[in-house]
Amino acid sequence: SDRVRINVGGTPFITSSTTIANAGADSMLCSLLNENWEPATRDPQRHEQDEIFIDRDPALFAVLLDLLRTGELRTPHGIPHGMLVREAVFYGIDRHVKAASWGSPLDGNRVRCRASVRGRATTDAVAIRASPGGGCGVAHGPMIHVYDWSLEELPPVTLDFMSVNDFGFLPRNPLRMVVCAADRGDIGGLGCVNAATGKLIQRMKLELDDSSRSFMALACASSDCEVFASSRMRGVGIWDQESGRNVGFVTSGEGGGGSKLQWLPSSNLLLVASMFPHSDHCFLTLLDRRQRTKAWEWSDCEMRSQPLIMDAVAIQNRNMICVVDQSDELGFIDTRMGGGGGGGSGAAFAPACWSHMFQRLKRSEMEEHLYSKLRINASDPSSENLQLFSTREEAVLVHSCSLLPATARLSVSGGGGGGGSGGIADIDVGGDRLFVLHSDENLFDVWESPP
Amino acid sequence: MTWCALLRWHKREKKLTRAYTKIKKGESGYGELFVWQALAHSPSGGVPSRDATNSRPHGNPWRRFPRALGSGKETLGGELGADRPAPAKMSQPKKKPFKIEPFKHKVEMDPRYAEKTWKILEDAIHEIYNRNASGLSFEELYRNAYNMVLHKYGEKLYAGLETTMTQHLQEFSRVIEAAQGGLFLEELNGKWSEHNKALQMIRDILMYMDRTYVQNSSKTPVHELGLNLWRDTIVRCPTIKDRLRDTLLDLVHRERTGEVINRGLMRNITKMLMDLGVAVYEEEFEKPFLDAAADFYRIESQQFLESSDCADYLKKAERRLNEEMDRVTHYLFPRSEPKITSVVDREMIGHHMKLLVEMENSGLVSMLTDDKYDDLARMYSLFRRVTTGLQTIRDLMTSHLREVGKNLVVDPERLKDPVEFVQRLLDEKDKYDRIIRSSFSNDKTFQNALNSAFEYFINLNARSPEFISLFVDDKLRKGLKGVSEEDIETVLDKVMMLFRYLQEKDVFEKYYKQHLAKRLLSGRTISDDAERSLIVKLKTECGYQFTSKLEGMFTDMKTSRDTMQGFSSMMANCEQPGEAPTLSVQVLTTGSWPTQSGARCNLPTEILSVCDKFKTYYLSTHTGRRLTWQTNMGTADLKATFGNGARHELNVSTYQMCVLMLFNMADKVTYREIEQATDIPAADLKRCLQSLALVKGKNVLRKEPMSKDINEDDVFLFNDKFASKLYKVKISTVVAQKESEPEKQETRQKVEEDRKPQIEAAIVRIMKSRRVLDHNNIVSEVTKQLQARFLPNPAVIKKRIESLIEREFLERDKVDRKLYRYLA
Repeated sequence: SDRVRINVGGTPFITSSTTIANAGADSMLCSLLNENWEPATRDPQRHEQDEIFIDRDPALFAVLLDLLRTGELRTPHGIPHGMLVREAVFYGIDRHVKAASWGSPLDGNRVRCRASVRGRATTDAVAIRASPGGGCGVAHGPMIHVYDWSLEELPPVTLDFMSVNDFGFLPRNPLRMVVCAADRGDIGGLGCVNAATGKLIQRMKLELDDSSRSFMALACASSDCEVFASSRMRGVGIWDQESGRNVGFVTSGEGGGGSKLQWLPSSNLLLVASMFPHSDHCFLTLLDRRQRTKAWEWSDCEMRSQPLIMDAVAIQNRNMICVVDQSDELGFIDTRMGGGGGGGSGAAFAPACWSHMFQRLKRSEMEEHLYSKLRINASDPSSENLQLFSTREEAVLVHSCSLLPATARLSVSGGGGGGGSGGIADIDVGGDRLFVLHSDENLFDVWESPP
Repeated sequence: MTWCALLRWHKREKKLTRAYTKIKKGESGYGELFVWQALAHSPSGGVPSRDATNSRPHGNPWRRFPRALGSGKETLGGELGADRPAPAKMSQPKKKPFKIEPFKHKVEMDPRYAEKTWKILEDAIHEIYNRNASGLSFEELYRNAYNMVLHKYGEKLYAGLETTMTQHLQEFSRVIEAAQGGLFLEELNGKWSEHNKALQMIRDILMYMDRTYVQNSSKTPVHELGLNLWRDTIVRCPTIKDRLRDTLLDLVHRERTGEVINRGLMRNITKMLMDLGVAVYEEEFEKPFLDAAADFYRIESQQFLESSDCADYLKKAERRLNEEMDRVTHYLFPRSEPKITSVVDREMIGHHMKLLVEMENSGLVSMLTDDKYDDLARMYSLFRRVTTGLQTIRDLMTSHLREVGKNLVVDPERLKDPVEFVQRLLDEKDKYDRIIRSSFSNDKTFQNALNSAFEYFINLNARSPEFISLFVDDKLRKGLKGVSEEDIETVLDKVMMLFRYLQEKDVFEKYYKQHLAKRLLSGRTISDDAERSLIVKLKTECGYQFTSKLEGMFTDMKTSRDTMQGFSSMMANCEQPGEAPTLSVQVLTTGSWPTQSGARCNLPTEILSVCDKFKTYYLSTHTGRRLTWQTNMGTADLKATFGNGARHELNVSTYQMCVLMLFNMADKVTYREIEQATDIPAADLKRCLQSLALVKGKNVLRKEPMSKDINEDDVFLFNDKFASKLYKVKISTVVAQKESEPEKQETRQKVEEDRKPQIEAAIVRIMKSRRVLDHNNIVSEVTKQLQARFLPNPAVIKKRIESLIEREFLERDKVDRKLYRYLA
């Protein structure tokens, strides 16, 4: 009596209602057997019920039925993933496919390249950002190409075709994106966009001195309910995610508004990093969101011999900030020292903090160099699985636990089938995936941990 | 372009690739021909742009060949890949796998496709609302909806759904409006469940739209849309809104007045409002419901107040409260419970608290007096629900208790018997302890209130310390005889509790010392353990200093026993027993005992000789000590033979013994002679003569003239006719158990005298640590330090400060006269 007969595109399938129930109450398959629709299936008099016909491809259904039965996704050769996803969306079980095909929590020591995606933009890609839902966006000049979790391309996003400086997905709502761009007069360089449709939801303006004005947004970050964006000279503005209203502005002082922002949820602080080429020296500031004050600050003004710092990332549960310089060396700054925003805090940055693990690279000055980027696996900042990802030429280095030395080296040239060779333009970590953007060829790789 | 054309194009493209590879190998001429052939085969309607380029190079194909090949490859890829732009870096050729993207092409559709599909779906929605869905195929409907969304008709679908659903709901609304009287709610409930079921099915059909179109375009999901439409078209429809509210409130009112209503229906309706959102529930039902409840209970509480006494009122209020809670569990949303109960609390209790507790003959006071535990407990549990409720009860209880206590301690009638006096206090305390325990759930604040009230009125009477000590004395001398150890402990604990309330603990100590001394010396304490237990309690309460002297008294008693053993064995060795009187001496350390220095008397010679012997014996073992006889505290047993040969043993005090011994020589002695011979202080002598001559049945002496008072001219005669049934006769000194007025003054003075050094010590201690302090602060610090023993009078403190200034412990600050400085 538990048996269910389904005919998909002419092929009969016999399964059980418990298997179908695995699809979840909000799926088409479940509704198919719902008593509202199939009173016959609940009729105890009839042992052999009629087949339920579905006008879809039986081969694809077989794969999905197997998924419901076993929880595993085994795709036979010759079935493109995109097709399977499309089919799963029809049956309302895309979430199952996602769960089954998507890796477990990202572990940099155990990753494989899942896919390489080639873009079609005319200009080289400059930045890649991961969405918490598993998708990503790639910025090329004025355009952002958005991909969903199955790496299907969605409508591109632009902000009036102004040059994009930074963008990011909202952690609580992966369908929304914040885009920072150059300001063109009164249009304004910051907006909230629907990532699925590419449509602008609202523009965010600065409300200073009772007047609302547009500005050029350099970098952005978002907490659970707020959006932060830095302006070139002045500091960091804070907007409410829902209403898009400007709720605050914090002057971050020397070094300007910061070329990179990072939100630290566990301590409710915002890291504002102003680095080359936006400023000649590196200025790091931790802003207290509630007090609208500086909680800690640091700069490398006093260390003239040091090479330029190119990127910085805060590691919250270790109370430190990791920085990388021009010659790809990592440095660590303890945020418990110094602090208070005093001028003397720079002394806390002892040279001993630099790792001398790597020999400095000797580069010909002619070659355009892609500087190292840093990302942290921030899905669970309190866990021991904290990992730091840094780029070196054509490889991503993974630093686990104690952060030094690197525990894995993910070579992206040739590996992953993409064939990119021009170095790594940007990386990002999010939605249990690592995205690596090549500097040439409009190519990006997606890395996952196998289930 | 049609699919057919596309397929052919694919074939040709494969050939082209082959041609390219061959040319690469060097067979250029043939290759070229091949290419052209292949192109010539293409149907004219294929790709117009290509045909245009192909038609041009007829002139010199050889020269054009390389470019044609290169661009051919590029254009081919470009065109097939929809709008793919040419790669930027053409100049540096790279190894790129030649990949042909799947062709994406929009299927040309019947322009009326959307209309047709929507018609099918619309009909299905109608059928669903008409409860005629059995003929519908879910798969077909789902597929249709899916296709509509797929072909970008999501917006049309959504809008159509909204319109259709609104139509049906408007229909429903008309039906509901038409329902008569009691059927209104039934109808509403019925339609609501129909709508819910329909909504469920519609959502099933449109699930794909819900998951894709609705999410991407930030629309309201189907289910929510259905609820919102129901809310706006039905619940907030002007003709239904008020009627619904009034019907619900009417039902609640009817239930409050005792009718039975259909709770299941009520439950369904309130659940519907909740499903529409908390805001809807609150606005459409909860708020008016609370207002109605407030009105209802405002009136009812007035009626109750007029018709019932406090206890009854509280019973009714409690019942109402339980009814409301019951109502919430049966058909309201649980979140309403605190709100509705707070309305009842406010209207039934909060507004009438004062009136209730002060109600004549039934309020709090009479409940307390009559020990109405249940009523008190009810009052407590109800009043605690209101912010200042317990405060009200507590305040009234405290003031009542103070009143009662004040009467208890200052009523002169009650002061006559100290034991009774203390017993009453204890009884009162027990009573209130019981009330707090059983009715006020042992509330700490009530216990504190009780304590402060006791502290207040016990200290109203300056004699409380004395009385409490007397009570203990009474209990330890006779009251506790034959009582188990545990019970003794209980009594002592209670006494200690009263002791805690005392402010003048040092006065108690004084009295206690006196009373203890008497008990010890007369050997009439019932249990050493009880005595010691009490001292331990005092020690834990007031510290070592407080009891060190009391403990010293016990030590003295013990060493005296040892000394007397040694002395009597020595006497037995060297003298014949029986001749000399037996002497029992208790050696008391000066200072530990309440001794009177002025006590003197001439002992009879027989006694004196034994005393001297003891003195020699004692001083031989303890050199460097001085013994003084405390004749006022001793007792003696005398054997006497009266006229008719009757023999009696008389138990008398030392003074009495001295007097009686005089009658060994003569039968008749005048007062003056006695005074001269014994040298006893006049007051004591008079008292002692009084007890010998004037107490009926114990008058071993006769007095002439017969009168009630002793005069200096009186003559005393040996009473030959003394008779008593007992062999042993105890002649107690006439002594007021309570202190006489002058004695009281004396004790008081002693206490004050003792306080002086303590206050001074406290001042010096404080000043030593603080160096400079102003007057008020000194006073408050001293008071704080000495609180455990007594409450020092600020005037006395001031005097002590002045005395210390005189003795140059302190000095006044030269600038600020209020400041004192400590002089090291």
